[in-house]
Amino acid sequence: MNAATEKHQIAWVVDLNKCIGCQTCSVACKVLWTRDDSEKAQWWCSVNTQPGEGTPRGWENMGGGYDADGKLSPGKTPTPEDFGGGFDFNHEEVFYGGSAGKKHLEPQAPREGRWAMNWDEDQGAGEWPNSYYFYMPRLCNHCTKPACVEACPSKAMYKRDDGLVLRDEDVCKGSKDCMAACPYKKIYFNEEKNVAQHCIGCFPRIEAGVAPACVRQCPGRAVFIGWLDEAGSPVNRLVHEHKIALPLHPEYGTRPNVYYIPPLSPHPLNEDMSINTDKSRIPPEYLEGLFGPDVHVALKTLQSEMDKRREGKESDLMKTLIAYKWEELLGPFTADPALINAAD
Amino acid sequence: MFVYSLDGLKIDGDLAKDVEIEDNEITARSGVYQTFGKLFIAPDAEAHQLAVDGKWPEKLREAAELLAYDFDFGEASLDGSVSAEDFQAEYIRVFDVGSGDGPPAPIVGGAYGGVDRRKKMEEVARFFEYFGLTTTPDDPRPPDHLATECEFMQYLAFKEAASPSPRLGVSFHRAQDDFLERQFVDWLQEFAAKVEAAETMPFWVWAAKTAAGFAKADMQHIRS
Amino acid sequence: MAPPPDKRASGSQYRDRWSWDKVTFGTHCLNCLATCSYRVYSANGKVLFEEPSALFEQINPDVPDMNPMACQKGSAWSQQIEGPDRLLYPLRRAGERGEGKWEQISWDEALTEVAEAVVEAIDLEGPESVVFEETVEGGLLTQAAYLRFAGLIGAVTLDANGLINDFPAGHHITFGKFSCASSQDDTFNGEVLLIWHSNPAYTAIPYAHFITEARYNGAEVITIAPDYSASAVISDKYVPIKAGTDAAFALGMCKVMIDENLYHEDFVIAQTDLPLLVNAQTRRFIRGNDVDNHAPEDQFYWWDTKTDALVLAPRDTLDPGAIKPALEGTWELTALDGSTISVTTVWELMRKRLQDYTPELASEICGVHPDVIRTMARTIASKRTKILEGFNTAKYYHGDLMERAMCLVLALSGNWGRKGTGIQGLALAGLDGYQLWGMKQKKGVMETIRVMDGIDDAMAKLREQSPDATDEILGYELLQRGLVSGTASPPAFFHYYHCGYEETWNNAEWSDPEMKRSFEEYLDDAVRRGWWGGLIKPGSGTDPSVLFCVATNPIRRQRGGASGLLDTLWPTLDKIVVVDNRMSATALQADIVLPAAMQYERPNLQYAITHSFSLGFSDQAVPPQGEAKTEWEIFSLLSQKVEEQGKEQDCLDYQDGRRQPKTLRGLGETFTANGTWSNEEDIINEWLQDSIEAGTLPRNASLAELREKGQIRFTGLGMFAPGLSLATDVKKDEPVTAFTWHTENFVPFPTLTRRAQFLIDHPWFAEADEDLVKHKNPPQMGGDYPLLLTSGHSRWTIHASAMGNEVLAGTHRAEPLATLSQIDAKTYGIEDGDLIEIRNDRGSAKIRAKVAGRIMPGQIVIYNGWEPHMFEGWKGPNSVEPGMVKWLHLVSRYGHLRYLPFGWQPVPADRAVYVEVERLSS
Repeated sequence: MNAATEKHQIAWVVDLNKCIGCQTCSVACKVLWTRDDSEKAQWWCSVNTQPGEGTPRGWENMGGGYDADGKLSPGKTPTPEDFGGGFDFNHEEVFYGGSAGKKHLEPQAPREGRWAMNWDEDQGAGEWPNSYYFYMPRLCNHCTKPACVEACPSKAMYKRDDGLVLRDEDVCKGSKDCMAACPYKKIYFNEEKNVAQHCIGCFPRIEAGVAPACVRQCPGRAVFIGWLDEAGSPVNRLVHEHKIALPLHPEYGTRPNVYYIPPLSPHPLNEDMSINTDKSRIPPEYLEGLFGPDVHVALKTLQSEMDKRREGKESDLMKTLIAYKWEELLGPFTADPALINAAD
Repeated sequence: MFVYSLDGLKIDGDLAKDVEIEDNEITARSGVYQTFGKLFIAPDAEAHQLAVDGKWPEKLREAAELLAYDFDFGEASLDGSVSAEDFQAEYIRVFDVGSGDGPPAPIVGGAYGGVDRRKKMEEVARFFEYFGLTTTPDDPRPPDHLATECEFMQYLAFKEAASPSPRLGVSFHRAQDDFLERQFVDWLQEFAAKVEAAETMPFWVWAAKTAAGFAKADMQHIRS
Repeated sequence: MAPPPDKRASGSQYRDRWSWDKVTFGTHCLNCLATCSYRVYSANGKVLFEEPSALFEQINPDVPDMNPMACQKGSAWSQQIEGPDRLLYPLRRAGERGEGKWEQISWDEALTEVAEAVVEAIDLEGPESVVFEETVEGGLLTQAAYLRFAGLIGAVTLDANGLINDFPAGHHITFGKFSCASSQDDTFNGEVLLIWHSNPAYTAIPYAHFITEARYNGAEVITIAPDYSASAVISDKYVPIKAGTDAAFALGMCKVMIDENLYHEDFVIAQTDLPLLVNAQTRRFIRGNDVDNHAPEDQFYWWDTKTDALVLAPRDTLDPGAIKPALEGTWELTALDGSTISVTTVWELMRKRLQDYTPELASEICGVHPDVIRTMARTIASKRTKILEGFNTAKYYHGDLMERAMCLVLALSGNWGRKGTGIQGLALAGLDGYQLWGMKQKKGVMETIRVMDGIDDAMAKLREQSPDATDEILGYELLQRGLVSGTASPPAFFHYYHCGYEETWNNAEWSDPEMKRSFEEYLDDAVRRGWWGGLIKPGSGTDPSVLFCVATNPIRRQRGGASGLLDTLWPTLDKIVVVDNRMSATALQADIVLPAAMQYERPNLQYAITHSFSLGFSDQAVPPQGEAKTEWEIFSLLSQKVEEQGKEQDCLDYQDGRRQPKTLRGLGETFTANGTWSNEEDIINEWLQDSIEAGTLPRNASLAELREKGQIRFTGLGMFAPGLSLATDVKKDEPVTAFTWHTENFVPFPTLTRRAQFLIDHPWFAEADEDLVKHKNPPQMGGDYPLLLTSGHSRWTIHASAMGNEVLAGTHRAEPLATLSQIDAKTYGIEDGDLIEIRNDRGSAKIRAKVAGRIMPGQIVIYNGWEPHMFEGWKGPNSVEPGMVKWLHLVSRYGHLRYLPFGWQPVPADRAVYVEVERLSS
């Protein structure tokens, strides 16, 4: 396949049964791309506890995307307060200011309405012993029908032949239309530079055959990357063949290309602390609200393949998900970054 | 964390420096390397005479008398018409300095295997140091010079033979195996090939090929 | 299939960001028990970012490889090099201790001042008044530096594990060792994984994938915890349990296994003391000197059902051979004095004990439903089960009982010494070169062999005295021999005599109500009997004078907080010296602060652990920031200064605590062995070479090799006891599985009975009714208050090391939190984000609340690592922790219950402290 002439779609598959919410993906991205002071509060990749308000706060209720008729339906433009974070601290005062214990180290931000990227970490929903939560990494979905591209008045946002949705910061006028249009609210705004910023799909790495940082650094080995259209690739098979990797909020209409394998969960407890094997801890409706009605079949498939293994039978799906060799997660992007002289 | 202390424990005496040992197959190996060592330094008048008399192969066979395996050292002599000065000049041309682009068959290990020369020398020097040898600063030869490496094998084999401590003997035996495998045998083969291609005196071709062959056979023997 | 390069202008900005001019390997050398291999990318002498190198080879095609081996903390380490808490210059306090006023001084001035204090202390009180806290951070070159200095001058080093308490006493009581950790990839081989008293989703991030992969491979993953933890999220089953009741739960499962005949009889008979004979009356082992004038005291017996007679239980093998030892029965025995003793087995005693732990009775204690207890017992008995334990039980007052009960579960179900089984913890093995180096006077293999021959000699002599002892047992003996002349001391005594814990530990309300005597009586008894002879330093009669905290942070960690050290020890010290790379809580309270180089700024090795079983190597990417120096350089210079001061103060020759002559003459030269050990790369290389000689590294191991590959897998356990404790063969193509020597080769355990021991017939244990394992409620530590404060480690930091990292702070609320359930929050009128106070009779602290459905009502959780200076008044949660010590850990001279460095000793508890809470404001 000649990438220069044919269109591809790069896609991520995130296995929520392996994600442990460690934030290594978020940090990998941040340390690489958003270390400027003006980017302090930006987390192009973020991991939130679901259910939760996430980042930006309450994003699932901010609208955007397309309506049922396929028309662009811009929603709220998230504010810096919605994103929160980017705190300053008072190290100087505490360590060297002769405070004698009277000042302590803390974020220097108003407490009222304070928020941050992962503020509601590990809170979830429900009450002990039947509370439920799981982790969901989010990044730009590099949608097939990107609302941000359609909404952008200056054509700064564009979709490449490899499926990445990128932006030209020299062209961007800072209108923030993309931020209102994106239903996932994964676009940030740089006040200093007056441009929108979001996950760039690690394109310099992709171009060199190196997997995106979020994928390559994930200690949980929870993320697959590859060409969605490449038959036989793990990404392709998980989405199209096994049908267990699902889009997030498909009803937003943008056809996102980050897919999720939905999370199983241990059964809840009855009042007497016996295990209620009839019920699911995470309400199926909740997962359906995230991933659509296909989620039920996906969970069933997952469980039955796991059961196969428990009975000692083979399972191609489980083999794929285990990924005995870490490189299997990287698709065609197996190049070692250290062996590339990127200073060229 | 814990640190062991041997305070209060008796440790048996130090390894003696000079030991009288009976000749055996290990001292034989040591002797062969010693001879090769002498063969590959810049030849003086005595070395020249030995070459002309065809005595080098004999010296090697003498040293190898108690060798535990068969090895054919062959025959070779220097054409009597070659003077001692010409003999030395040829050594320098082929192995040492060359004429213009460097010698056709460099006599240092670091020039082979595509490895960074400095790193190779550093490795070799550390190897020597760990096993109790340092090259003196006055020594004109770098640590990865063929003659120096032969001397090192001579030393290691001797130490193995002379070791009163079985553990130490094993250590030196392993060191030889390691050194042969990682530092010596491979580049010697390349070296011999280069000497053959260098259009030089048959004597040097014999010397290089014999040394390369011996090192290879010796490594096989050590492992059995 | 490369996509076309993006031509648009802003593309170049990002390409520039992803560029560098230098790549080095790096690791972080922290106490996380990971040896991640990162690549560090720098440009123009500045570290830019890092990324795991992911070069681990797949060991076995049926087991996932270890890649990428990383966590978010390592991935943000670069942000700490120039972080806001980084120490760059030597500092002297300019006001009171803790005032936060500093004067920047020169290294020369700083070291002179420290040296002055050291020599003065030696002169006036002796070298044991110079005290070091041992550390587990900073890697080997950090530790090597101060340990060497301390050893040369005869100072005291407080045992690291006695300070931090990662010591599962129950493992040690059972196995005679606590380092039982198979390599983490062995987890994949488990059929049942019990996440019990641990939270690997938080604390074993680089390895957690083996759990999720095992689950996909058919394993059942079960989390047993009070809270629905992040690890429960990735489990098949969540078993809520009341905090501190795990022994009851475990014993309930044991009862089921025995009642339903599910236990593995052959395994039990061979591996444990359960078939050994005891006096049915006294519950004491029948010993050699009970029945035979010529038999040693530590000879034990079986009843052979084949011959219906008393037989020796062999001391040199676990294999019963032709003997069929009974588990059940009672018999009559004639003692030496002619009297008749009724004998039975430990098994029978255990069965009787377990009558109190039917599933119904156990359920009343622990809250787990009896059916769950039954189901789990049946499952565990029939499948390869591994307990993924952390170091949480160790910090419970009765943690040893919980651990012993867990070990009993494994014993009955045959679950150690084979793939995918066992109990995790720690195991140190592989870098023998580091141990050997401590005994060498010069470089090179001859010296190495001389030392190794010396050790062989010493072992041979010990073997003469104990011909049936294993190498491991002799190894511990050897370790013990070096103790009295070494520097290590169990810190419990230091805390008791010099830090005010005498009062704390004698608080009966906070101790086990079943104690028959006061703590003081037990301690005095132990001391009088010489059980800790030569190890109590500085003794009660020596006032500590100089305290060194090299890469340690006692003000944060010490249970008791300010009242633990600041009010008691601090005022008595003449000089407090902190060597660290960040301004820690302890540095804030010090007199002299010396800036240390960080990882990435110097070559270093991490201490060797079996978790990854690979060598952790960190290279120098950039020079140390500011005027920071490596610890090796610091202590080299300090040695010179101390020698100078010795001359100045006319105190050059003196005696150490054992009246052995010590001298400061030539200290500067001695420290580096006349320049032999002045280059840190040379030191590392020597460690590598010597490890090759010891057979624990492959022959190509060298600094050059490490610079190419980043890490090397160990090839053997080594020749020293801690490594040997893993008791297994290291195979190139298999994960490391602990204890196979015991199960496959029937090699005895290093315990009194040479078996996994479930009866501890020591009088103190007996009078506490803990000779056999049982459940005991956590004592009312802190007083009579309604909420139980527990802890664990967070995902956000390794201890306090990331507290100044602003990128990591952005992944959570960036301030200390106490998490409680909605039910309790409602009861106390607390809302998420409110400022609350936690209080008990020990102290108080103010903290922000987080409300979460995962927390068990009745419990409040504050994770480890918050610095006191992140709290109002600098009072952290350790203010409410009394730091109680269980008196039984003072027992010594009972077989395997005796001090070992990093091992058996009294340790401080901090989990399950009782508090009350009050809302202060929103």
